[in-house]
Amino acid sequence: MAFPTRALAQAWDRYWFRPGSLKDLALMRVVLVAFQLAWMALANFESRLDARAAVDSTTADPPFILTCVSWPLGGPGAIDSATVGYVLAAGWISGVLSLVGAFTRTSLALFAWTQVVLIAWIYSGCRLQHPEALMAIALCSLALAPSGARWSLDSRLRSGAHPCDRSAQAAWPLLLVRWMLAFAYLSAAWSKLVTGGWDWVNGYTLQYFTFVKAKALGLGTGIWISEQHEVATLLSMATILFEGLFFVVLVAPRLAAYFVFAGALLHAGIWMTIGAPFFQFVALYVVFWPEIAKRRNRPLAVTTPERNAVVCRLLAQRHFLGARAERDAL
Amino acid sequence: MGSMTMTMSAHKECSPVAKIFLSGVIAAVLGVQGIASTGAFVKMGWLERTDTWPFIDYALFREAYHGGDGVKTWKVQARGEASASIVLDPLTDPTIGHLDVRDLTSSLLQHDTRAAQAWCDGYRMETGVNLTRLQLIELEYRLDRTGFHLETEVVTASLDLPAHASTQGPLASISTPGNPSWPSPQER
Repeated sequence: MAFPTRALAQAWDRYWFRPGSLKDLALMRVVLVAFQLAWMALANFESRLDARAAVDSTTADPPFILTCVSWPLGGPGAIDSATVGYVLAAGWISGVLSLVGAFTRTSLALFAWTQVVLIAWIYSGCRLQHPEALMAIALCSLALAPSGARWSLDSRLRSGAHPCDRSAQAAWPLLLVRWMLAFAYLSAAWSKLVTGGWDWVNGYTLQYFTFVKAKALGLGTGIWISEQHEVATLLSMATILFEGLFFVVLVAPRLAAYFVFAGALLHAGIWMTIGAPFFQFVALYVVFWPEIAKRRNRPLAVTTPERNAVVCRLLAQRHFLGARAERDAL
Repeated sequence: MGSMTMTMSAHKECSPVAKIFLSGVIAAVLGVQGIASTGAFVKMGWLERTDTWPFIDYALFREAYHGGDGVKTWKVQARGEASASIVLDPLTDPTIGHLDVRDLTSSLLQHDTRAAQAWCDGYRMETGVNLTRLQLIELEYRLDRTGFHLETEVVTASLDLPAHASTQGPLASISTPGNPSWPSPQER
């Protein structure tokens, strides 16, 4: 029996290159870029860069990705404080341009590059942290998609824009980030169950971690949780269930609203109890907005590809007829 | 046929070249992150020594603990040549919450005078006490249903500081050990 290569290729195409809403993609662009700019402004980003600059470059251990992306700068060894200042300035400028959608693809590509360079450079001088990794991948994916086709200066200024709101290149960045989130949560649940086993949900484990972190950081909520065995047991179970079952949204996207709500609560709780700021993950939940919006507008959301096609054709006709009427009037 | 034509015109199509390129990108990202998520990178040759960020696993807080388990922390006790003495508890003092106490432990155990001197100079400036002796005390808290309780307290290292220790160190760089400008032993 032959391997069904053709059928698999078609299934791959149908999944990743399905017609996606350009507005959903634009929303992803606006939310992620705005978040990242706010994070650069508010989350001690420049002090982290300063701290990295103070690290002796002979003891620095650059991540492999920094070697790959820093060649325009002369490699990781050539990056100094002045270079970082230029990259940071380029990050701010390209970030604002990406947000308003001016030269969107170019500015998004530059913004993603600056973020990868700066974050990887910070991590070449200190212990690796997790929150920024998926955001870096998401920004790169936005640069490869028509993210500026809606809600952008580009779309306003461009004449003869496609009247249809959908594109075969608009869905894959959202789908890819969903997969990345599912991998991350599955990795978290998997590692806990493989290393700690079911004892991980015995309550003492969460008491332990919250005590150690909260005591060091002076977080009252975490210290309180570390003294509540039953609450810690329930929260441990909820955490494992959430992380272990998150991948279900890939096959049942209609459940996305519940997982997004639970995930936002989980990350807020993690921040309040042990001070780990995974806000990037909450921002990335924007990729589930199409499913959440569909639930909110359920009576209107009974759409089929044929119905979409008719609507798009009518829009195209109106666009064409409008243009002809204008020409006739002239 | 009509329905098919309408479906085709319903959205902007993706060119075959773009589709192949994007498929490659998607497959590569999925593959690399999929392997990274299982933590398998650490078993793969040169990758064991290579930081694969942003493709990483999320194996955080994965160990299990039980009732009766302990958590070890350290307390630094510094004595002055006058009657004053100060106790610095890295667990409870927020000003030193970011200090990696293990570095200090190893410095003290190896009697790296310069590191210890640099560290306590900061506290001399804050407290006005002329430090002559430094002790590192290991604390062990025990976990039970109602939280953690201090169980043992052991002096793990003790160091007499040289007499000139308290007169060294630039003021600006030694406000707190958590400060990024805090000098490393090598720099001093």
